[in-house]
Amino acid sequence: MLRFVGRRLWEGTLTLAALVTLTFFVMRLAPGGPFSKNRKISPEVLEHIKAAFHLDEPVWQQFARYVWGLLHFDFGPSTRFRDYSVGDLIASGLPYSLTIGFWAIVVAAMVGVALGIAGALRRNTPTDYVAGILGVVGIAVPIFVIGPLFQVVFALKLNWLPVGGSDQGWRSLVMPVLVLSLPNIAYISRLTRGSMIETMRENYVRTARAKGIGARRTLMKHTLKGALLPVIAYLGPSTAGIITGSILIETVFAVPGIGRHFVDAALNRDYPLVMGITLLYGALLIVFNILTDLVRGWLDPRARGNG
Amino acid sequence: MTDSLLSVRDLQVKFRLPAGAMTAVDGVSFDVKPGEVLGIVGESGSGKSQILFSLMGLLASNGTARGTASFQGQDLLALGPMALDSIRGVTLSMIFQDPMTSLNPYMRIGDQLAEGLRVHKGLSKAEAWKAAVAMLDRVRIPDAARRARHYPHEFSGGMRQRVMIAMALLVRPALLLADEPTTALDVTIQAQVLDLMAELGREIGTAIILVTHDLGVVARLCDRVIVLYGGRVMEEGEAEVLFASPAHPYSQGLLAATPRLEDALTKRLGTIPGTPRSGGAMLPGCPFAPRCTLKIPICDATRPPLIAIAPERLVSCHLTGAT
Repeated sequence: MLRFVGRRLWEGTLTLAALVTLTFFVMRLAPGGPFSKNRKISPEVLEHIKAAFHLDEPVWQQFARYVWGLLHFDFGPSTRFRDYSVGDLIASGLPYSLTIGFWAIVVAAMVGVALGIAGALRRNTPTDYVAGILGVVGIAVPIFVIGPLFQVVFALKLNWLPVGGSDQGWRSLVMPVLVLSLPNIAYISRLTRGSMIETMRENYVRTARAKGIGARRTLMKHTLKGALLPVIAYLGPSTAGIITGSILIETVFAVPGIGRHFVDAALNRDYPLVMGITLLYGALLIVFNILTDLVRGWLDPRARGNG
Repeated sequence: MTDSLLSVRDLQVKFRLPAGAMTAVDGVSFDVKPGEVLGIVGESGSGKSQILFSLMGLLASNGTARGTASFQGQDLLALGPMALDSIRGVTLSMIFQDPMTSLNPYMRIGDQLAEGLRVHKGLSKAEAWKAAVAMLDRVRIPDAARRARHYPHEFSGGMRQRVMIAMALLVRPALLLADEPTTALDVTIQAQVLDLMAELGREIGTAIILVTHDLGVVARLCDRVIVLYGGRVMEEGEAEVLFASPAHPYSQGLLAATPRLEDALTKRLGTIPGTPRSGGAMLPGCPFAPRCTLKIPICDATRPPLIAIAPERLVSCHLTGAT
């Protein structure tokens, strides 16, 4: 078990190293640079700014400098947000994205799994159809449509919740969390339903029924475990994606998270910020994949022993 | 036959399919006496497994069973799921065809065995576990106390089927339904597993319905035999008598198609022409008529009744009356 985690962490480190190298050079290959969108400045000033960010050095030297910084947990300065380091930007935005993402995935997992089980147990009944329609709506209708709709209804008409921002504690969280969880509720409920139906046809579930232990115990002790394995395999990596923020959610609800940096940094050619965000996402993805494998190993004895 | 443990009368099993209704079992009646081993033989699609599933309330969701199946004073086919659960796994157990997939891969073997005892007999966890280990020992799982902590994927196919046997007999049922228990196993261990099942059944006093397509298995273990074709009983009788003098053309064909060691080099193996019928509308006459070499005109027109030609000996064939 410890050996397994150790090996996976080592593999993860190698993956991150490859990710850093690839992102660094691909970024430089893209046309334009950090200051090409600025208003006209004189060549002398530009030279000075470039020198300040060491952009005048050869690329390999820049890379060495960046890696050296990384080894000291220094992600470099943002070229866009002057006076802020990439570390500062992530540290200030991440808590918002983390909080919203965490609750969204909790809500999505609980509601999605419950809906999926209900749909599978009452297949082809009104319960199943309602869950199915909600699922299609949740997947098909984009966040930038549902978000404003919620704002109109719950903030402007009913006046229950703030339209956006992050200054009203849990009340500010409700709508972003709900809207972010909707597509995931939809996806998880479809996944759970399909997996449940498949598992209910398994021979070992029939064996359990033949033991006369009752429908409830058959479901809890036999069907559920096998049925939830694919859901867990989905939850792990998607959690990494959700807690690193969503640009749509953060834009619609004016949340100062890091999701917006994903897109903005790339558009602005803010090299260090792009690197920092990519690294963060990569690291989280690796960690959640390891966690997923640990949970799967705990649930499924056949998945153990190869680590 | 008031001394019957199980008395099945006019059992019909139908499936709703996109193409229409399919009759898998068509008016089958039989009795099982306490402690006896009854063999049900037939080809694939003869409906033999569906008889067992209907008794256990385990038919697929598009299947329905009609008729009566009186087991210790209760009609199995009329019971709701709750009432059925006081019989299934208590006085009526089942062993399935495929031991590789019939055990829960996520649960320790010992827990799977102990579960029935805990639910039905209210045993404590420790007591049930102890009984499970003892039973594993009886089905000759080596090092049972340690093996009970293992998961199914750590067992071979033959061992898993022995585990299934242990699980089914642990509750000391009055009747055990065995659905081709050795079909999925290596031939070299089939006999071993079957003998074990029969031996334990005798010790506990459990009657067994053994469904199979293997006549050798029937000859070896069964007291009585029912030959099934197209969902109907063709012939029924004591195993020895039936094998010595099969009365129905289908049984005769089946026996002729069984390889015998002494004939292996000299004789061609007998075959029955045609293919087993599968699904579709029921024929008005004998289901075997399209393949029967002794067919006479009436065979296609009306169903032959199941008539007694001797005590405990029933045959459904128009020719039987004539000869």
